[in-house]
Amino acid sequence: MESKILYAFTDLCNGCRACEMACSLTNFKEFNPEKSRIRVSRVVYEGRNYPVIDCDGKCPAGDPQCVYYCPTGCLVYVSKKQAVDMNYELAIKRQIQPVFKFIAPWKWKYPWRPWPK
Amino acid sequence: MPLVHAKYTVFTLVMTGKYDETIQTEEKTIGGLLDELNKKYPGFKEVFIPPEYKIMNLRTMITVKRVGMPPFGVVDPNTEIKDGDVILFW
Amino acid sequence: MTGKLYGWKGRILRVNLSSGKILKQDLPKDWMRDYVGCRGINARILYEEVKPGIDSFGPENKLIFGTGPLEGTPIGMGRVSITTRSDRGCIAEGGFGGFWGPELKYAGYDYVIVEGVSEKPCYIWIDDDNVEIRSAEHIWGKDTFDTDRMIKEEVGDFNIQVAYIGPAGENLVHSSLVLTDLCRGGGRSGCGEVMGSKKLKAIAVRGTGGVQIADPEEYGKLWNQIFQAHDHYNTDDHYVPIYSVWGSCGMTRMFSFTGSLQTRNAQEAEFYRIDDVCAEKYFEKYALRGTACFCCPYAAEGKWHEVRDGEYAGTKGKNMWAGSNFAFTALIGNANLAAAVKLVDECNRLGMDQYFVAYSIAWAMECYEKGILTKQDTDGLELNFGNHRAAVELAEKIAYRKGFGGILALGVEKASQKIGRGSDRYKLTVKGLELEMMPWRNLYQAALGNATSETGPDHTKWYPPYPSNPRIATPELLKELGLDLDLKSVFNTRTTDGKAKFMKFRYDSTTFIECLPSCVYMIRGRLGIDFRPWVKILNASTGLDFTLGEALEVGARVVTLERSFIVREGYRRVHDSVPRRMREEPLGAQFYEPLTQQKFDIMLDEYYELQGWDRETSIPTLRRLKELRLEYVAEDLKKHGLEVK
Repeated sequence: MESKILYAFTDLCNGCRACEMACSLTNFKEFNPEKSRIRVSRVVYEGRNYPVIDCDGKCPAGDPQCVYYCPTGCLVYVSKKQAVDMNYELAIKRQIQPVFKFIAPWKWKYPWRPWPK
Repeated sequence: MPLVHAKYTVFTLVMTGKYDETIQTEEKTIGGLLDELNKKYPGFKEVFIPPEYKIMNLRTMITVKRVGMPPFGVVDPNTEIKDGDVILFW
Repeated sequence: MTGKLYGWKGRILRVNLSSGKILKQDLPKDWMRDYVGCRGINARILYEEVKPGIDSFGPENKLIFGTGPLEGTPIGMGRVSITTRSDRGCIAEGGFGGFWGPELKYAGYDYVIVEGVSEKPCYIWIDDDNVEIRSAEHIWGKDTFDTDRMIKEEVGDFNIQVAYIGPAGENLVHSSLVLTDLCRGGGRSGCGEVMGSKKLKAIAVRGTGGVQIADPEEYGKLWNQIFQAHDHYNTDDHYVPIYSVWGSCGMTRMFSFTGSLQTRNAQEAEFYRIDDVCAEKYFEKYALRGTACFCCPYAAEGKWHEVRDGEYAGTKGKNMWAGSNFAFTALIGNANLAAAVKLVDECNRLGMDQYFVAYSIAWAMECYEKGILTKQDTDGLELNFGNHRAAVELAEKIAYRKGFGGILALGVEKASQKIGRGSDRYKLTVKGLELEMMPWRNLYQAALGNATSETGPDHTKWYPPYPSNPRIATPELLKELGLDLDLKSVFNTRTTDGKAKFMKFRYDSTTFIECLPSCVYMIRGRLGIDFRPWVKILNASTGLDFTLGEALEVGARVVTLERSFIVREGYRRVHDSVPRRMREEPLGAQFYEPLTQQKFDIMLDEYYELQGWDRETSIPTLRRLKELRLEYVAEDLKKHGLEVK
């Protein structure tokens, strides 16, 4: 079975830092960003956010909690090949549907069509 | 055969890919119109009438504008539609 | 309550800018039980320490930044409450989200109370236990984006959090905001100008501790439950998928369709060009990336936008939300979306409230079109509805009090008194503060809520105006929760029955949420009616044993305390009023009748009775004050010569 990686699609990150809270709660039973294995670098003057991960995805709670609480679908725990394919999927789909500038296609479970011209 | 004008906004716009459209329909009620739209846009009806409940969300999600009266929200799928209605699905 | 404190840090930081003294005090334990935190304890401190009739811009006024037991945890959402005495005499209470609150909590404080007036511009730097007052003379006059960057460069750390005012706050412009994170602003009822009067430019915080809670396992389960209620696929509230991706501005086109969009200074109910300026167009053309507050489960309530072409090219900023989308398009009749984005940016950079700027420009435009104002009055600007260039120029003039902007900077109420010539017919204010987005003639519960709010119109004190899905709020559930509400009557939005009861419930419950603190937009789906998860999560964080009844009582206590504050300042029933336009003018045969004083009085009578306040004066009754354990308030009101029946 192919091994999985914890990967972040940085242009979907909205900087909410729920991942930091989920990690510190799961591992240390308190809320402290300094003790989290994932930190988000927030460049406020450009509106860009970059999750920085120091973890192999093996979480005491089983499934990675940071992935579960990420609201946009930016964090994923998939195999390397899947992550590469998802990058393509994201880039292509967001050209025709602006919703995917803000939320990942794998998080949007309703039917959708291309945005009107 | 009523001629109605359907408008889609944010969420339903993503589902249908259109801002609005004019529909010449054979249906006489809102429920029937939803069935017709469901054939065109699969999954459309389920958002308004969840299959397990069979009644509409009372949080009005379909609003009808008719000449001569203020806009009203649709609660009952058997509400009649009239020629010239403008219906907003949101 | 003995032993280790969970949730709260139990510390108040008191900074006196006149003397330069910095004190660290303990938070009284009985306040934690009676008022929980955030807005509640803020109100308690304000009532005790700020006497009636003082000068709000003087050294006796206090500016209180408050957090609560859930701050720094995911459900807290980074909410902070800012409370002070406004220039208009009533309570000025606002709040913002962002990341400043959690940072203050990690530094080890629950409250920051700023007293006195500084001689020279300064800012407060809180670095865990180390607190200093530093000079801000080189930053005074800079806009908010520059302030944010300069303070972070000076401290040498771009991960600190800063709360600041813009040039408008420095110039004591009416309705200035306190901002953080470039666009999260709060305190439109008067907090920004009080901060400016103290010559306090910013409060910067760095915190390296954490927040310890009593029961992490239980908290984790409840966080999961609340998160699932807002997960846009699992939720049973239709509004959530819209809100999650588009933010609140997804509603403007729907508002226009249903005749709820106040257009051209509320003369009309729908904007004929809404399709050009709606959220969908903003989404497509200008919004690039989503940004969120601390641990928000919604993907993109704030969006980073850039205008790359046209006459407003180069505009960069964030967060066009419902208020901006409505105020800078329909209210001033503007059909140019890039101009609306530019106005949002101007307001964020200069630190002004968007509703205030839009309503004052709309008022000026109506007066200009009706001939009350001439080009001579307006410095040559042609203030016709839809002239966005004039609006952009005027926004900057208001912040710096230049020319005609100086008159508008007083607020619409005082500006109309200064201009005279019948211009007060067109003002839209309650208690001296401009209105906001909610339609009065279409949604009677919103009218009641806005008129009775103690700070002036503020929808966040009672939002949302609808109960959650009645499929969930069945009679059995309501009985289980001990709530006696007729939800069907609330959906008939243009009748007077059932509204007062519903608004009383909304006031109590929303106030309780704000005391935790948590974001009032989180009460979606089942959580809008069933408040038990909130009570449970408070118990899991603090280790206490609140019940649902006690929780709603906390809300009622805080509302009555705030009402006592404004009553002590001289506000009475007559100030809980409906603006003239909403009382007298209909919205056309296609839309709605006016909300007459008679209809409004029926709702107001019922509301006062439910709150336990006197019908004629709105002063809380002795019975009610005793019920809520506010006997000290009764004594204090009697001491100030008020009749407490």
